[in-house]
Parts: sequence; C-alpha cells; structure tokens
Amino acid sequence: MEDAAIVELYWQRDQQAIAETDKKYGAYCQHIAYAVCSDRLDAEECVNDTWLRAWGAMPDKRPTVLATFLGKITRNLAINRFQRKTRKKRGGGETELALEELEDCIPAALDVERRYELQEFRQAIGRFVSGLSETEQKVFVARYWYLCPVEEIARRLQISSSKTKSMLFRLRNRLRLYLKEEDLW
Amino acid sequence: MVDALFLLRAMDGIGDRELLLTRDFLELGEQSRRKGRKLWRTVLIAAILALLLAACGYAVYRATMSHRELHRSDENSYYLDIENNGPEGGVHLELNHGTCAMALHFDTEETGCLYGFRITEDAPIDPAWSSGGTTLKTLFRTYEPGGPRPAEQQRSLEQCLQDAGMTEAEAENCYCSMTFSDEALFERPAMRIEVLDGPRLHGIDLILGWPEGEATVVREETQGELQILEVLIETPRKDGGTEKTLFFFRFDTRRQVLLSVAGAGELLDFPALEAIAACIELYETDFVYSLDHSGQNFSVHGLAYG
Repeated sequence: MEDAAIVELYWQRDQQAIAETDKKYGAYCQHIAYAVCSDRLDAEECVNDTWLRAWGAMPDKRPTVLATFLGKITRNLAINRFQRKTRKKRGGGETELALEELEDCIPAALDVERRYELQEFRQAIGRFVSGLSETEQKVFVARYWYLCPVEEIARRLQISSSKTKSMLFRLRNRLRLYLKEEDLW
Repeated sequence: MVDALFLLRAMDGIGDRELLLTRDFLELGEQSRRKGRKLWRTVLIAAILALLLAACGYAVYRATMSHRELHRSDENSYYLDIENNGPEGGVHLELNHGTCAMALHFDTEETGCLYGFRITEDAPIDPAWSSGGTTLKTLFRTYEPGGPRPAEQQRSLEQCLQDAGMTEAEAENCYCSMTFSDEALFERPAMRIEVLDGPRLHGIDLILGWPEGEATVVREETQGELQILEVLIETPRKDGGTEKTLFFFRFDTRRQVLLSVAGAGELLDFPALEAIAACIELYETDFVYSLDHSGQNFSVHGLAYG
C-alpha cells in the first residue's frame, strides 16, 4: 500500500492503518530499535509504541515521508529506553560504542540549559550532513543514525574497516569544527 | 555519556533525503523480498563457484603435490614442508613460535621468479623478532609454474567469474590483492619492508613511516610486474586499540603471489600457523581463500589465483 493511502487510513481513524504500517515498515522500525536497544523484546515494544505514537499524531500531522517519520519516532523511543536501562546497567552494543565515539564531538560541559539548544544542534547537524558527499552521508548516517556496525558499512562500501573508521574519524573532526563555527561548541 | 546521547538525539536533524539514501544503502525498509532473492542467487553462485574451484584445485593438487607435512621441530618452532613433483620446487615455512617470527621460503627452479618481503636488519624491530634469527625475519614467496596454466582450467575459472558477475577488472583485483595485517607494527616508529628482486621484478624499497595522526598513503607505483595500489597506515588509537595496516598489490600476470603473512605479538599460536599453512595450500591449489585470525593478531584475507 502506498504511504499516502496508509496516512489516509490514519486520518480516517481506521485501525487497518496500524496493520498496514506494520506490514510495510515493521522490519525497518524493528531494525532501528534493535540497533539502539540491542534487545529483541525492547525493540518490539518500541515498534509497538511507535504505532501508538503514530496513531496519536495523525491527525493532525500528515507526514510527507512516512518511513522517516516512523523511523524517527522509533529511534527516539529506543533511545529513551536505552537511556533508562543504561542508568541501571551499562552495556548496549553498538550504541555504547557510537556514544563513546561521539563524545569527542561535544563540549566538555553541557549543562541543563544547553539541552534547550537541542533544536539548534539538530538543525546544525542537518546542515552538516547535507553538505557531505553522498558516500560520506551514507557512512555518517549509517553509523550515527542507524547505528550500523563499522564492519557492515565497510562491507557494503567494499572498503576496509580501517578505511571506514578513518572516514568516520575525519567526519567527526569535521563535525566538531562545524559545531564550533556554529557557536555550538 | 549523557552528552553523547544528546548528540545522538540531535542526529534527528538529518534530513529525510539522507535517511532514505542510507536506508537504501543498508537495504532496510521495503526490500526484504528482493534481498531474499538476491541472497539466494548469491548463495547459488557461490556454491557453483566453490564446487568448480574445488574441482580445479583438486585436479592441480593431484597433478603436482606429492608430499605435504607439518612438523614441529622443537618446542618453539614449526616447520611446514611441501614437496611436489611439479616444476615449482618446494615450499618451506618456518615459524618460531616463541618469538613470533616466521619465514616462508619457496625454492624454485633457476627460471623461477622470486617475490617476497624481507624485514631488513637495519629496521628498528622488536627484540622478540630479533631473537628469532635472521632467516626467521624473512618472508618469501616465489612462484613460477613453469608454463602457462592449463587452458581448460583457465577457462573454467573465467567461466566461474563470469557466472558470478565479476568483471575482468574485479577478477584481476581479486586474484592478487590481499590484506596484510600486523597490529604490533603500529607500536614501532618505522619499519622497512623490501620487495626482493626476482628475474622479472626489480626491487622496491618500501619504506613505511607513520607520523602521528591518521592514515597515510605512502606510495603508489608500478615496478616491473608489480603495482602497489595503496599502502595505508594507521596509528594506534588513543584508547589503546590498534588499527590495521593494509597493502594492496596488483600483478600484471596472474601467476603470482601470495604474500606476506606476518605474525605479531605474543599471541601468535598454532591456529595462526594453521592459517598460514592453509593459505599456502589454498593458493597452491587455486582456491579462493579467506581467513581471519584477527583474534590472534593475525589475519590474511584475499583471493588468490595461482
């Protein structure tokens, strides 16, 4: 079913919307959630919560790209769940690793007030990524949005893991500089 | 931790176009059926390819090899001895288990080519390597099949590659490219690796130095039949981990070269030796090989074509 038709089902409050969404985007959202949570059950719950959120959001929203709309909801839910769990116990597979890598790119002291700047960071990162080459976009987004393992990215690009890591290293440096230029550092 | 999480959340600012581009790149989303078909096709091709290569390899094995033994000469050394009835001469491998040094010697007829690497004496090397003795610091590979490869075998392999959808350029690359990984090298300021002279190959001194910082492409050039496509050196990560050293080679003819296995660190052990032996064996029998013993700080990847 086309995305527009699925969205229309949501607007008509037809519960078939959720079934159709699950059929079309269940695997995609499950992948996103699992990448963050590293736990099948948690991932499934995130996906189910995503459908509820989508149900609550439409109407009034009418997303232009349903895949990313759902993906972002799933990812945020998964990050929330991951955060809750890691407060209790550390250990989250690729998420942990990605977080460690990203720590280089943020200011040393990010106080509570700066949390309000999340939107500015979002916009800056959006601009930063849109200015990258296509390959760089794939590598960066695969790693830091989809939390894909480095080896998997390397395999798909048919380059070595070392080279992929090197690209990520450079991209993180560039991101850090970009954030400095944007006075977000 | 929390700060990085903040940044991870902020990644939501990435636009729809980039997210969809990467989703397709990762083959997520709606492509599961297509992916399934592709997977089956790949498996089928791989199975056919493996079968044909195995048949070719076995034929060559039966035709040329008569003797192959792995000895343990003393507590710390292993010794692989391969003799054959073919025109190649013998293959000889030594590994000093205690010092992690090793040597590969491929003795050939007078017409044979000699390709290899030697870690030279003047390079500042780890004492553990020095104690292995001069011969054990030499890595050699020679190969001279003594004539053109059998036309039938050549055709079979080319057919396999064609069936697998590989272009000639890709195939060429596959035959002779390999990854050489020696994580312990990163701890040293410099090391000199020399490609030895052979009848049809002028020597190359490849001097590797790695400055502080990130990867460095040292050289790209052609010498005789050997083209060094890329040398990538990466320094140790600050977190204490190590990166890999990658060498890519291409040879104009398809008859060369395995190359260079390197042991590193104290962890090199018998499985690593087995990997080397397997590597030689597979090479000799025209197999495609892919071995990874990175757990022992040792790895060999690649496709070889004898």
